[in-house]
Formats: sequence, structure tokens, C-alpha cells
Amino acid sequence: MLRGESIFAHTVKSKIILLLTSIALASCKRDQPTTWSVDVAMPVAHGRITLSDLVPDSLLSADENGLWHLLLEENLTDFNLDSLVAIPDTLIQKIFEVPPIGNNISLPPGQQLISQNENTTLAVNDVELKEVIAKSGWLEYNFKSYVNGHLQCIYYLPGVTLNGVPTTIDVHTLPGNQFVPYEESGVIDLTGYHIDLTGETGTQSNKIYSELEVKVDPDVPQPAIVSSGDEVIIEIHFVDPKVAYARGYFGQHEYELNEVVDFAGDISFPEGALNLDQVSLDFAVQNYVGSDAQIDFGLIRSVNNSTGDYVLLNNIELLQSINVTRASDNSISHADASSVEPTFNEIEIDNSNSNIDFFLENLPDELVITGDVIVNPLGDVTDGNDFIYTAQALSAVMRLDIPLCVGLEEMTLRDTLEITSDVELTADGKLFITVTNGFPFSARLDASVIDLAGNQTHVLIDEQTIAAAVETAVAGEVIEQTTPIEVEVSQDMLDDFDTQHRIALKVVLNTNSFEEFAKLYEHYFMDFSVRAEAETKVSID
Amino acid sequence: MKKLSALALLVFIFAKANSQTPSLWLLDPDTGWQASSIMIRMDASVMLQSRHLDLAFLDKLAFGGNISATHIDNISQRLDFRNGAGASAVGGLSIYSFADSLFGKSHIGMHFKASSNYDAQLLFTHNAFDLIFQGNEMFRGRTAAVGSFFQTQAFQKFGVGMFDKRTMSEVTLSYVNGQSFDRLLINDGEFYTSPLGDTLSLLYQGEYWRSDTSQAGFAVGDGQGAALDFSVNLGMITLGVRNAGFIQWNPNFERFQFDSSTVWTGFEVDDLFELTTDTLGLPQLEDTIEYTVKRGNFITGLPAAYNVRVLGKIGRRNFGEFGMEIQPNLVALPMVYGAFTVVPSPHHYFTFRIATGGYGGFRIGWDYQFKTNRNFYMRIGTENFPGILSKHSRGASGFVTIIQHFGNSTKHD
Repeated sequence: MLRGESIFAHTVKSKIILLLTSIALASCKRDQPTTWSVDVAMPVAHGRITLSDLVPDSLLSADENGLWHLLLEENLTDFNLDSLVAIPDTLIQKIFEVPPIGNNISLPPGQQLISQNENTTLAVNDVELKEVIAKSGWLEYNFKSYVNGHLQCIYYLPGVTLNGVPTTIDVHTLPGNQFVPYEESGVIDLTGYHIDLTGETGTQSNKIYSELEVKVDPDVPQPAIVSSGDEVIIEIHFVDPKVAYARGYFGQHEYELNEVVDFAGDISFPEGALNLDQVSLDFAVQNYVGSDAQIDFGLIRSVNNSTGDYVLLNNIELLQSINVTRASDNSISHADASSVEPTFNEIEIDNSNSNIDFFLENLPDELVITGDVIVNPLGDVTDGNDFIYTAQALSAVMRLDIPLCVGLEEMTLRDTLEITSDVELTADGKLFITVTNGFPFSARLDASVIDLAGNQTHVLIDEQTIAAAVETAVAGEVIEQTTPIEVEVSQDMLDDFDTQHRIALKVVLNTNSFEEFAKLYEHYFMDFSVRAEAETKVSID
Repeated sequence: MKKLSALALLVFIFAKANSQTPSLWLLDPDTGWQASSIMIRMDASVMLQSRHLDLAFLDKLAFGGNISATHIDNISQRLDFRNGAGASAVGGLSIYSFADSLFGKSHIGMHFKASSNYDAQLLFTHNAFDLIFQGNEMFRGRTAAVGSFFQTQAFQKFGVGMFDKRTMSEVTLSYVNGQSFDRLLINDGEFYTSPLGDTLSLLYQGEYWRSDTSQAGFAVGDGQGAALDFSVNLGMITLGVRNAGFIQWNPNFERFQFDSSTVWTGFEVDDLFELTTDTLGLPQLEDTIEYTVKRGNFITGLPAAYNVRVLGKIGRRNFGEFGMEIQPNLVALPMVYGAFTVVPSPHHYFTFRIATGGYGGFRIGWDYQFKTNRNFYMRIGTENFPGILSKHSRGASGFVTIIQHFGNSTKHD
């Protein structure tokens, strides 16, 4: 038990009392501490363990009968269909040089210098895009004139529209010279812009049509003085365009699916043997993309890294090719994906059509899923009318539902408890632990003090059995069982806590029978309380 | 400067001065001392008394050592429901001028006084003692009443006053320098232990006062006030008042008030088997005690005392003395005492004393007074003689007075 300066002193009540004494003695200087012994009886700790303490609430759900279900949902889509229709940064640069026609030639206002219509091809790979809607990006332009005169430069992009209005860049330059050009630049935010990629003819793909005209500025009365070698340089730069919607032929692509679902962050299946009554596992594929796909799961494996064991999921339907048909889009504006009618594929796996129970009874801490996804396995069957809304594309989700109706055999939970205190812990006495078990399984409890290296230095509780609650004829009703435990606590043991020792707890759970399933309801709990009785020593320095 | 330091040290080392005029001065027919021009008086006294706590216990409590269970049990057996202890220490220096007169009266002189004063009072219930020193095991299934009171204060007085050169009656008005003050008063404290010891509950209502904690030390000046002392000798009867006054403390004085209850059932442990290393931190007092605190220029009273003494001759040479002192505080009872003085020669007075009340019980003491023909006087004694000899005594005290006369002045009417 703990001496007055430790646990006793840290109870509110005792501290009030000691406060009085301490104040009275505070001003006295002592060569040695004032000490005396007291007999204390006091509570130390209490708590309640429910299943939700062992498993995050987000993974637990009780059904209408109060039976716990372990639910796990994992998104398996690790391939990014956005990349199908990604548009790279594209630079269009035009350099026009005055031919050797002589120097200082005077051109009147309105005199046309350059007129050029052009299809610029985007450097996309293996896709044939007809139109896209940008969700972000910029169009940067830069006009540079070495001509000694006022020019008007008009860059017209009829296929780059915002709300149906084509984009026109109209720049009026000031006179430059052969050494110092006049330069003007600007930026257009492409968010929400529709970009027609069918070119001048309207039947092509990946092409942006543009019209360029440069002339002596008609709004300025002075003529332009042109000499051989004078240049006009025009740069149009599509910077970091992101696609919200795209239409075209996306090509035939194959992606590898290699997903590792790590449970360690959410739940750690303990050691021991688990017998599950019913388990269901659903694979659901929801396709919002206007192209076909084919999914082939290579293997689905549960891995117990503690034991090194793994089990392959065996289900005929899952191991066959899953053909995902294209979604349909009735929208004209393509403003969002709400108009898309997705397609669904779902595979339901349970004890009757698979080895799912063995799969999970392996107590996996991770699942490994491998496979392939082929986009447009049949090629361009829509005449270039694949579509995608990148905000909502293809999702493949795994949903696991385990009703907690289990058999347990030597199911082992472990925990490490670190006790921190600002004062020295001293004790010599007993702890009385009372455990009230409302779970229909027994527990065998071990507790020991360990050092930082994990070496056991003291045994607190050695294989103390906590009786299982007795199930009644009424489902979900049990008769709780109380088990008292006495623990000797020595000063020697508590001294270890000053050197960063910890308490290691181990609980081994067993149902009455491994073959008979015990149902775990949400109202089941295990209460514990710890109280101390000891002769303790109070010390005032 | 060295002289001042030595004087301060002397004042500090000596403790509670008896403010009454020494009986010898009233009984001795030789009044030649009144012819001196200056009289310097040094007083020191120290007192520790309890009706129930013995010196060995208090010594270990204050200065360290292990208090045995047997010792604690013995004390517990003699405790009443309410129990107290008190202590004080005073060291003082007084200068009396016989040479001058005041208000045109040659028998009235001026005096100056300086003293350093320490006072402590403790009041506790039997239950509180048992709970602190024997633990709560014995209180399983019942409630311990733990209302208690504790107060200490330290202050210095610098006074000026006048005295009657013939009777040594005097009155002094002092400026008081507050050094420190602490008071814990638990008006209502109940500590309950459940039969199993798995629930503790505490009801606490009271207050804690303390002076400025940002500065500490001798004569630090945390507050200032005034005090009135007087001692009137009406023939063989002496009436006295000591420390009738107050201190107003600086704005950093704090008054904590608490009135709450709490139940303790142990630490709440709710994260077992979350399969990580959990940390269980023991809670701190500050986390759990509920209180309000006010700061301001609070005023506290000085540890006043009111006394009366009657002297009378018994035979030709011997004298009797009877007196009473009342200290108006929560702890002290009225103290009465009697004394018998033997005068073997005009220069030596031996006095035997008995007393009861105050902070202690019945006790015996003695003192010895010595004077030369004119210039020197000394008194030394104790009000609790067994306390000097045995740590089993429930108190101890000692006092000393030294007086030196200088020069000559006119004999007074």
C-alpha cells in the first residue's frame, strides 16, 4: 500500500488534512524529516471496460437487439482515373520576324502585319479528348514587340469559352525598338472554362483552335516604322489545368490494384483462437465514369503478422472477372455529376459461399488485396463519348460485418500502464481488487511490473481467474459474477516506478465452450475497483 | 552598524518579554534606581504550551524525527474533543529616560521600545489528530470531525510612550510592522470513510488567510498598523494590556474561502486495453480543491492579552502574588497563577509559581531576581519548570529581563 505521501496524500481529503499540518510545520527547518505511520483504507482506482473500450466506436454498431456488430469499411480504389484525362502544361509560342525588305518603312494605321489560324495539339497520351471543363488552372499570355510603332494584337480562342463567351486576348502595344521591346502580359483564370478540343473542323480531338491577327493599331494616328529583323513574339501558356469534366475516348488502360488494409491503427486482433458464427463481406463497385471497366481480383489474403499465418479468401464470384459497365450522363451543361446514372456491382460473401469465417478467425492485422482494373476493355465502343466527372469516379468498397457472436479460446489482450506522479511513491500493504464481470466469458488475469526493456521485475497478479457471467434463458441477460483479488504491494516494487517501470497487464479470455457462441451485447461490461489497506508512512521534509 | 546588528540579534534571540513591571521593583523599598537618568531594559521570553501535546511530540513535529505509534496513541488517549496549543516568542529593548519630564511633571518620563513578536495558535479536534496521525482505518463506517484552526503571525513594534518614574506605570503607542500572517480556519470539516474503504468523502468549509508571499524574512514589511500597551501599577495591583492593536496588510494579502464537498472513489481508469501504453497520472491537489480567493488590504488583530496581578506581603520578607491573564482568541483559556517569593536578602528574590490555563494545563515554575544596589537588575525564570527537564512535559517556557541604569537625575516627588 502506499504511504501517506503518495496515494494517501494524493487524495483530496487527506491532502486537506495534511495541508493543515504542512502549513503548521512549513516554517520549521528540519535536519531530518518528521515521520509517522498511519493506517489507511482508501479507494485507489475504478473503471469499467466495455467492448467499445477495446474497439473504436466507429467500428462498432449495435443492431436492434443490442448485439454488437464489428463493421469495417475500406475504400479499395487506389487507382486515380483523374490521370486519364489530365492535361499537361502547354506552351504556344509564335515568333514573327520582318523579312529583309529594308529599314524604316512606314506603315499606316490599320495595316495588317500577321494573320494566322492554327490548331494546337495538346500533349495528352493515349486519350482522345473532345471537350473538357476546367476546375482550376491559368492561361498566361505574353506579347513582346520590337516594332517602332503602335500595334494591335488579337488572339482569339473560339473554343475556350466561359458561359458560352469565347476568349479574346486583345493587346495594344506601344513602340519598341530593336534593343528594348515593348512587353505586355496577363493571366486568365480557367476555372469553369469549357475547352473545345475538336479543332477548327469540329471533328478532331486534343486540338485547340486559335486565330491570331497583328496590325498597326488603327486607333492611333501615327504610322508604324518597320525595319528588317523586327520581331513580334506571342506566348500563350496553359498552366496547371485541372479537369472537372472530360469527354472523348479515354483509351484502353490497365491499372494494378495492390491494396494493403492495415488494421493496426484501428483495432488489433488479439492472440488466441476466435470462433465466429456469422460473417458477411461485401465488395461493392459503383461506377460514375462513362467508360467500361473490368476488375480482376488476384488474391485477397488475411495476414496475421504476429503468427505469420495467412488465409486466402476463397469465393468463386470474387475470383472471376467483374465487368463494370459504363455510367450514363443526361446532362447538357456538365456542371456536376448529379445527372450521372452510375452502375453498380456487388458481391456478397458469407459463410455459405466462402471461407470468410476462417479468413477472419486468422485474426488478421492486415488484408492484402491485389488485382487488375482495365478501362475500356472492349476499346472505343462509344465513338469517343467516354466521360468522367473527376469529383466522383469509380469507387470500390469492401464492407465487413461481423456480428459479435463468438467463441473464444485463450484470446489474449495485453496493455501497458505507466504511472506518473510528482511525488515519491512508498508503500507496504495490500490492494484489494474487485472485478464484476458482466461478459459471458471468463478472464485469466496476470499483472506484473516491467522495466523499459520489458523485463519483469515484480509479479502483482499471477493467473487470477475472473469468473464469467452466467447467461440466462433470456437473450442478452446475464448474472454478473464478482471476483475479489488481493495484491501485495511492497516498497521495493514501488521504488521501481521512479525508474520508469510500468505495469504490464495480460488478460486471457475464454468462453465456456469454443464451439458454442457467446453473444456480446452492448450493455455488457466489466467493472473493477481497487482499494488499499496499509500501514503507511507520512513524511514531511 | 555592528552595534545595531548585535542589538537586533539580541532582540531576536531573546523571546517573549513579560511586559509587567518586575515585582522586585514594586516590593523593594530601595528606590535609588529612580535617581538614574537612563534605564535600558532588555526582555526576552519564549513559551510553548499545550494541554495535551508533549514537548517530545512537538519537537519532532517541528524539527524532525520519527513519532512512534505508541507515542501517538498515548496522546490520543488524553485528547478532549477540542484541543489546543500555543506558542509565542518576544524579544524587546526599552529605553527609559528619567532625566526629562513631560507635561511639566517631573515624575513622568518618556520611553522608547522596540520588539519582535511571534505568535502561534493551534486548535484541533480529537478526530483530526487521529486522522492525521493514525490514519482513517479507524474511521471506517463513520465520520471524523476535522474542523481545525491554526494561526501564526510575526510582527515588530516600535513604540514611544510615557511612564511614571515612581511606580513604573507606563503606556506605549507603537507603530507595528507586519512580517507575516497565516490563518487556516476549517469551521466545518467532515471526513467520511465507507465501511469497505472504497469511498471517501470530505466536507470542507472555511478559509485560509495569508500575507504577501512574494517577500519574506525578518521585518519584511508586508503590512503596518498600530498597537497600544499599558501597565498600571496601583500599589500592589497591576493592570496590563498587551498588543491591543491591528495590522493592515498590503494588497497582496490573500483570503481563500472554500465551501464544498467531494467524494473520492479512486482514479477513473477508462482506457485499459486500448492496446497502447496508457499513462495514469496521479491528480494534484490544485486540481481538486475548490476555492475562491480575494486579495486586498485585509486587517487582522494582534494577539492581545489582558492581565491583572496582585502582590502582597507574607510575613516580613516574603511575598505572595496572584494573577490572571486573558488572551481573547479561539484557543487560550483564561490563565491564573499564584506565586510565593522568598527574599533572603535585599538583592535576591526567589519565586515559586504555579499556573493553569492559557494554552496549557497545571504547571509549576520559578524565577530568580537579582539586583545590585542601584545600577543592575536581572530576572530569569520559567513558568513551566518540568518542561526544561523533561520532554514528556506538555510545555516549556523561559524568560529573562536585564536592566541597566546609567547616570543620575533628580529624585522625583
